[in-house]
Amino acid sequence: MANLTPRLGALAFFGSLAGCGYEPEIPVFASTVSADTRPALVEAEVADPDLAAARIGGALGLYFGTPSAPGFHLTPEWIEEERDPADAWWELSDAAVDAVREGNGVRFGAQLGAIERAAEGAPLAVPRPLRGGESWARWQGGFAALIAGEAALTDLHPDSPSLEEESEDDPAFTWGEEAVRFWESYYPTLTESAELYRVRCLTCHGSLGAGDGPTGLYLDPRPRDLRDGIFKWVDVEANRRPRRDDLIQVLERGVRGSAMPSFRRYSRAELEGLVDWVRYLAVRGETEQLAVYFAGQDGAVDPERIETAYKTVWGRWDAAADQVGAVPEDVPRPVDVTPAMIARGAEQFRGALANCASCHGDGGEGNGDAIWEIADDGTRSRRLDRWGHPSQPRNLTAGVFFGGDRPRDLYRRIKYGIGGTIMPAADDSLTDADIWSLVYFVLSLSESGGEPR
Amino acid sequence: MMRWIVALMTLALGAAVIVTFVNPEFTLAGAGQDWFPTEVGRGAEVVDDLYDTTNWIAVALLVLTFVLLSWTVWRGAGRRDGEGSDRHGSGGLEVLWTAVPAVLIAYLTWIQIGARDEISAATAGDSPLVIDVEGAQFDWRFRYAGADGVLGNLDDITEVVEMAVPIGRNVELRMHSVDVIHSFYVPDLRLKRDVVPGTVTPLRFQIDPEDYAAAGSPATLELRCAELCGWGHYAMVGRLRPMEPAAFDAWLIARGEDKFSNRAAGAPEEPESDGEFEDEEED
Ligand code: HEC
Ligand code: HEC
Ligand SMILES: [Cu+2]
Repeated sequence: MANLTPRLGALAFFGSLAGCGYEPEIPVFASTVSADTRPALVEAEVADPDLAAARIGGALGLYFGTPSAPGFHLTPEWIEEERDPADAWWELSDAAVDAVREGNGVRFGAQLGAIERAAEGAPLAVPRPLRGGESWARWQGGFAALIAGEAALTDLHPDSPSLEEESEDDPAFTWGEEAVRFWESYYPTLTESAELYRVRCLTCHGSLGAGDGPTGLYLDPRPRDLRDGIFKWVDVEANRRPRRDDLIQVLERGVRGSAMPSFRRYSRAELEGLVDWVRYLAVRGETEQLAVYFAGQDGAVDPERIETAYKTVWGRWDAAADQVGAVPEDVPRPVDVTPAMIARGAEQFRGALANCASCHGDGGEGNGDAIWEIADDGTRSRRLDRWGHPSQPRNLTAGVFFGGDRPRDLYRRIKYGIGGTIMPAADDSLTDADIWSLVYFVLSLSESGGEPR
Repeated sequence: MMRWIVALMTLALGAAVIVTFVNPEFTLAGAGQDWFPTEVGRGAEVVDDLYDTTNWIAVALLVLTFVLLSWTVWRGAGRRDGEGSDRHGSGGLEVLWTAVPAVLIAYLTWIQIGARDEISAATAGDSPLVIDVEGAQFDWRFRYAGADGVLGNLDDITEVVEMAVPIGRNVELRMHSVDVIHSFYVPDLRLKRDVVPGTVTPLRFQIDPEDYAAAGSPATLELRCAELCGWGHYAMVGRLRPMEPAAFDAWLIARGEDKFSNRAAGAPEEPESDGEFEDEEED
């Protein structure tokens, strides 16, 4: 009996250590066939679903690589045009390029400062930046001579034309100018963006972007299934593919009211990289879905059809720029808003034409009846959204607008509907004035008159 | 053996204290206050003084405690007969160890009240710019009164993560939380206050123009959540962007213009005039 106590003590001690070894399940960042693919193939009555799934998986591997070595399959046309979506820097708008440079100026302030000080005579000591290990390796490789002191900042860079040969289009440049340019025009590779996604988004959106990360399962609303290419809070018309700027906007402001946080603390270059990755997951997922659809039609997986699927999907994304939902220029200001306008909005809201109240309820609390589907036998079931989740119309009295509270945001929601959800586009016979009155009626529901909310 | 352990313990303690408080890198009281960023808030130096005072008292107590402890162990370790003295209570000692902390706590309370008054006095006066701060898992969101100067109506300006603030003007935050307790923490301003659901917590500050310039006019000041608020707490990071008052006013107006414009995300702010291009074609 006497020496039981220390043993129990030891047991308790090691037991507690074992308890400390708790490791949450770490999601695998892998690139496989989606969990939905095989069941879909079975449903489509493909002769050998296992073989078909394996062939689709193989094709996806060929077209998109893996998260550790991602890339895009290049179609012959692209090779001719020298286009590679993996190198999206060349697709950025001028405004985006400026924003990237500005963001890099801040993010790499220490690096650029070190170069500046070196130009004034101090020894060159460029610190390693936070994140972006690949860019550090590129710096050490490309500027080895400079770092080793074999070249001076004022020396001509080996790739520069000599002073005799330089021209206006092709000016000479020094190591120093090239070094500054290196940091200012930093743009993450697809691999770096995948890594940022793994660290910041995977837990919610999952490794294939299916919205099934370990945290995502417990959220309401659930994280977006990025494999669909359908988004809610974008400026393009509902159910169209978003432009880069739409996704940047979502990443910068987050989705207030949902778990989707703002990533504004990241530099613009990193956000553009995340957009690249979202687009990668979406194009991959859509190609997969289309491949399954074609397999259902053909009875087997046909490589040519996969190429078609891939091109079709890219066609949708490339058309995004033309699909911005137009908003009339003369946005009413609060001073223009009359009680009559609000009254008209209220009338529309409950009227037969707009019929918002059917879902949102007469008071806008989100308690309308139209979210129920009534079967022939009288059983009621909740209407689902595109991703199979129960629909919940917004409580408009709370003043929380997921897609932004600017009048133009609400105009777009009401006029064009919300992608993937049951909220429809407004009836064509509603005029702009009608829609603006709806916008301001909705906004008036949550006006708090000076009280914080 | 025991005596040597005691001696080493005391030495290690002394070294730790010296490294922490005498090394200029770490000195709080000294000139290079490297523990904290240079303060840029009006009245923020009061917080530093308070911190220093509290710290030195704590250091003195720490040293005293360890000296007494070492002395006791050293003396006890020297006795081989294994018998401790059999003592029950000591009126004098009890009075002493009640009175000393009581005096200390009274003193700390006293100087803290003084510091609080001094800080409020530093930001008293002219009517402040009111900003509504919403803490949410895991974002900081801000709301400014728009052109009409009234918060909580249609022309409010909303921001996320980054809070623009005018330099040299009083700012009053009205902080509230939509979920759990967060804490609004700006080290450069020595500000930290809990943001509690169900209530509105005010917090006033002013960025002192001279201190700000002396600190090298940092473009942004770090904002953190200082209350563990869930799994994403680590990422609940924001920033303050100090702006000259004129620039701030212009910014607010521009934000208002943008709010009531129809431009899509990423579209250029000014409608691009293609006049130049047309001219060229005419030539
Ligand atoms: C805490 C969980 C969480 C994290 C982390 C997260 N998201 Fe989300 N995300 C969501 C949720 C929830 C939604 C759905 C919001 C809704 O339905 O309104 C969403 C929606 C989105 C959308 C679609 C927005 C739209 O307009 O439909 C995109 C794109 C997106 N997230 C990208 C990202 C990226 C990129 C990251 C990482 C940088 C990320 N998310 C991190 C939870 C998260
Ligand atoms: C068939 C049901 C339905 C009808 C009809 C409907 N809505 Fe909705 N509405 C929804 C649902 C569901 C959501 C939530 C979407 C989500 O977040 O997934 C929503 C969301 C909204 C939002 C919130 C947008 C945001 O940014 O958070 C507004 C505003 C809105 N609806 C206004 C209207 C107006 C105005 C009408 C009438 C023209 C209308 N709705 C008609 C179902 C409906
Ligand atoms: Cu928090």
